[in-house]
Amino acid sequence: MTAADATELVAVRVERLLGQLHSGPDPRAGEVAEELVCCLVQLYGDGLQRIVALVGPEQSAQLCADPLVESLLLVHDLHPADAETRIGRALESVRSRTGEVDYLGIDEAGVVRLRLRAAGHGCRSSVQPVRQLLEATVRQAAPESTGVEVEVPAPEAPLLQVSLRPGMDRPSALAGAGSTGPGRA
Amino acid sequence: MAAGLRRFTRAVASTSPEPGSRPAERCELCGVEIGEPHGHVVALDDRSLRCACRACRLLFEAPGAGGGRFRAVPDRYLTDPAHPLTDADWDLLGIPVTSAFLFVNSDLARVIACYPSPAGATECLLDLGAWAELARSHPLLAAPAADVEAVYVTRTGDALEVFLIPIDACYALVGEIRLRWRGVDGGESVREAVSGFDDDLRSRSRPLR
Repeated sequence: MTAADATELVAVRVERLLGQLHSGPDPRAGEVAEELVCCLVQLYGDGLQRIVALVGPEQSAQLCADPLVESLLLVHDLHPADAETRIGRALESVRSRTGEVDYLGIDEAGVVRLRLRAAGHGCRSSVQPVRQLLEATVRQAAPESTGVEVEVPAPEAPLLQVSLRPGMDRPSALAGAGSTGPGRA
Repeated sequence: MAAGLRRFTRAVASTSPEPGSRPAERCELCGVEIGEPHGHVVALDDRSLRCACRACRLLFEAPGAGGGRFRAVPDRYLTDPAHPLTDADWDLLGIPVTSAFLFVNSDLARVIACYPSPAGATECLLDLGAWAELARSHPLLAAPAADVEAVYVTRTGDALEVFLIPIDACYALVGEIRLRWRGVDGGESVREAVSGFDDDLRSRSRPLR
C-alpha cells in the first residue's frame, strides 16, 4: 500500500463512520459529524496552504516527491504543478498499458478530454479496460476534475484491404488536430 | 483517491437551515421529532435539562430509572394559600432579589437558591437554617421533588407569592430574562416577562391540598 493509498483509505473510513452516524438513531449526529470533519479538514488545509506559500513552488514540488504529502496537497488544490502537467505525468506512467494518449484539455466544467491514438485491436471490449484505466489515472492525478472523456478513433482499416478507403488519409485521421500531448517527440 | 476527502474542504451547508425555517426540535434522548410544548428530563451528571418526548419522559418518571441519573420533570404547579409567606419570613432568608427559585440539589444534598440575571441563573447565598425553619411551618416549601421541582418566590409590590413549579419553567424564565435584559435592572421588557410568567403561574396553580 502506498502512502497515497493511505489517504484514500482514510477517506473511505471517514465515509463509513459518517454513514454509521447517519443511519443511527439520531440523524443530527451525522450532520454534526460532517461539520466536525469539515472544520478540521479546512483547518489543516489552511495550514498546508500557508506552508506551501512560505516554502515556495520549487520546494513544494520537492515535497511532492513524498506520495502522502502529494496526495494531501491534491486534496486542498495546493499541488504546485498544474492539471495538464500532472495528467501528462500520469498518462506517461500508464502508457505501456494504454498506448499513446493525447491530452485535449480540460473544459470549464472540469471535464478532461483525452484521445487514444491507437485503438489497439479495435474492438469495443478491449478498449473498455483502457478507458477505465485512463479515467482512474486522470481522477487520481487531477482530483479537481469532474469527469473524463476518452475519444476512441475509428478502428484501423482491415489489413486485407488493398487500398485505403476513399477520403481517408491515414496519418492525419489518427493524429487528429495535431495537439502536442505529453511524451510526443 | 484524494477526491474522497475533497468534499470536506468545502464549507458545510447541511447544518445551516434554510432561511426562514426552524430546525425541528428533537428528543435529546431518542432523537424523535417533538413539537411545542414538550417536556424535559434532568440529566443529573451535568445538571442539564434535556428536551424529551412523552415516551422518554414517562420512562424516567419511575424513581431509579436510567441508573437514577435521569429524572423526568413533572408538570405540576401548586400554591398553598393556607400558609402564606410574610415579608419577615422572606427577609430571614437573606435573598436580595424579587424573583428567585429554590430547589434541592440531590448530589449536594442541600437547597440551592437561584435568581434570573443577565448572566443566566445565578446562585445566591441562602440561610439554610432559616429555610429549614420556614419549611417546617410552610409545607409547600418542602414539597418539591429533588432536582426537578422548585419553590418559586416572586415579590410584586407588597405581595409575596410562592409557587411550586417544575424546574424547566424556572429555566425558561431565566432564558427569557437573559434575552430581554437591558441596562442595570433589566428594563421594562424584563418586568413584562416576569409579570407574564407570574400571571401564567397564577392561572395554572392548584392548591397544595
